[in-house]
Amino acid sequence: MFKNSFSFEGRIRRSEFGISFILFVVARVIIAFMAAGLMSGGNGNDGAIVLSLLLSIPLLWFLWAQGAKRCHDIGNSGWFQLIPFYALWMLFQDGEPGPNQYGENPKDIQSNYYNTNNQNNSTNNYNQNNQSNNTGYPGNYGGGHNSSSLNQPSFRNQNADNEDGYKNGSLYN
Amino acid sequence: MNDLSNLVITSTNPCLLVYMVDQSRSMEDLFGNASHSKSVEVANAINDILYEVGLRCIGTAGEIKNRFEVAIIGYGKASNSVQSAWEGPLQNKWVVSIKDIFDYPLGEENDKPIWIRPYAIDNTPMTKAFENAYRLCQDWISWGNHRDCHPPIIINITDGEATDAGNSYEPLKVQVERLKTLTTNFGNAFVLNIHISSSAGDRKLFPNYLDSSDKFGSLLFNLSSTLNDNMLRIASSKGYQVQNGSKGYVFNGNASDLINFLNIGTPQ
Repeated sequence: MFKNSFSFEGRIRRSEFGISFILFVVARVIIAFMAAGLMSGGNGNDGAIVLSLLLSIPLLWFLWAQGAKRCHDIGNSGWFQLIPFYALWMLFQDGEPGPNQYGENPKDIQSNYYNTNNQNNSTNNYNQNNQSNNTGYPGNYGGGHNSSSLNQPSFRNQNADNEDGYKNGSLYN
Repeated sequence: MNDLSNLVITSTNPCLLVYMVDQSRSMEDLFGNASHSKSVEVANAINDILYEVGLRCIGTAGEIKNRFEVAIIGYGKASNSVQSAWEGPLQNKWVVSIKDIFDYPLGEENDKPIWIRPYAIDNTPMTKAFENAYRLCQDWISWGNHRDCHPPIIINITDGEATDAGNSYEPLKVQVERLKTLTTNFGNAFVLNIHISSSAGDRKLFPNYLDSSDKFGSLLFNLSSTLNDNMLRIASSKGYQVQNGSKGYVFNGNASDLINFLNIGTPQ
């Protein structure tokens, strides 16, 4: 959650957008109090206005970026968030299942792994490939069926290029 | 050729199971009269069968013995794409031993581990999927002592026609027949087909002949292997009307048919 909060690309879940909205409101209230403090302190309206603007710009960027990503999760362009009352839809509508044109389903990315008795994944030298799995069978059957192949160097993913389909010899890559 | 009935599947002589899963867009349609999609039903069935296979491999000391190795080939997740359908820590793996499968699930649902999720995205490159299955099985058979193992079992689950087989389906036929020529010392690779659709009724379960107007269904039937004695025994015990010559083909099976079929195809 909150990876690349200022980026307009990707998708985020309802929960992240809801938290972002709350953070925005809280920050705006704090800025308002600070501005009010400046005005009452005799620094005049200009200082308060400048401070308010300076602090609001990144806040608005944050909110719009998160809003765009929430729109993407629903399957719409980020511009949709400018539609009056669309924010309610953004708060309650579930995201599209599976990947869509804007990226992977954030629910899939955040799924928790099943905790078995074998908690010692730190011994696992397996280099997980986080690229989109559009590759076929690339060959390099080297593990063998009677070993814990995931801990062996030969079991590391050696498929560097994204050529589609199974590559001969990558049986146990 | 050795007698398959004399073969015991062990961790030193494992069996390869290859599940080929249609992930094309049409799989998002509802499964029969169910309220969920075909892709969800298939993913649930495969997750369930992996769990059952694993439980079947538990030794006397409670450890999981590597009696089975599994590959899941997905096709249609992207345009004309074929890829391994494993996810999570097993992403990009092809053949995984049952112990590693249980050690590295994708997650957990309803207190049971899951390994794949449902997808229904693009077209149906089934010919390409079978071609990949052929090379994968060929590599597996050539490795170590696998020629003295149970021949690979390939179970294809689809709801529609191949989009890369042309009008005559000749390329698909060629790939499937080629796959069936792969052998170990205990016989030929088995190819079994589950053909599911959104419409209810008109089920066809392990027929030994098929009189159908569905050209592609007839093709899948003809391309399916004949059930061996072990498969006939299991099918019969589950109440299916089977006889010698019954084919490993199911059309429009319901949810329990799907699980039973997968069970039947898995050597006991």
